[in-house]
Amino acid sequence: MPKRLTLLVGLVTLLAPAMLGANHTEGEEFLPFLFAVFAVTWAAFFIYAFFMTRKQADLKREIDALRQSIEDGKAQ
Amino acid sequence: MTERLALLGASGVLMMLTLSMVFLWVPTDIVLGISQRIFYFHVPMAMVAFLAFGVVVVGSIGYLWKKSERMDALAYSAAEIGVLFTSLMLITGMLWAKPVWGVWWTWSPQLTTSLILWFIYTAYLMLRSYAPQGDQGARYGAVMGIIGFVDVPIVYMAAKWWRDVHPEAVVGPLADEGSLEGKMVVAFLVGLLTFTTLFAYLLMERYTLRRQESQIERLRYSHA
Repeated sequence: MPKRLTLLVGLVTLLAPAMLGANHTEGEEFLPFLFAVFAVTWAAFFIYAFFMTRKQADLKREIDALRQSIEDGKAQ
Repeated sequence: MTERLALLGASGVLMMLTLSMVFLWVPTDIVLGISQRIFYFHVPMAMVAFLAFGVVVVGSIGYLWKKSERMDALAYSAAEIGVLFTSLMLITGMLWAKPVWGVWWTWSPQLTTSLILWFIYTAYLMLRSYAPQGDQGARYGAVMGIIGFVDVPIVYMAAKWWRDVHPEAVVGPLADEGSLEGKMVVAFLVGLLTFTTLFAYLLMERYTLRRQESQIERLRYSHA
């Protein structure tokens, strides 16, 4: 049920402006530039977030290993 | 963790809303045509970059005042994300310049001062990498982060002070009333909200990462 609701909210959000009145335009030779802007922007954000999340996981593992090593050193 | 997921989810939904508004809802600009739709990405990203550098100033002042490592981590994280937003602002600007002006780049005052802003905060990140770890490096960075912000109002005012090919501000205190149509203003504000939410999410993630890096330094020191 929550999944369906999420899907419905997503679809309504996406289509709402179109329902309110779409406006198709001339000047389609500029579309590749428009597409490039959106592609570059979102690709950059996704790549940055992806590498950050991955590095966080690596550092967490390193922190755990260092803590373990310190505790082992104290125990000896 | 819950706040971050909420921010990420909100960014996703807002992103879809922005895209649908930009492609399906806003009217086409009479002068610039379809390429004007780049505006809904380019300008909000510039404004969020300014916001990020504002956070650098707040974090840097906080560090110099309280010597708080958290404030330094905040300043560093905001600077890195600010550089990301500035890079994207410059790239999207070039992609807009080509169809409209016929060139990828021109040494217009607003473009030049934006590029200088990018250099300043890239230099800040380099300084933080090469300067000694700990208080000394953080202090150098804080001073540079504060002084570098002087360029932000210059970037915004550049189009007013030195008139050239770059359009004057259509949003913010310098904008003339009615310079944007109603639907365009709504789409712009939604775009601004989208990128601000995304900035908040990225800042939280980068801040956590920076704190982890400091924690590792401390653990290594105590382990040695």
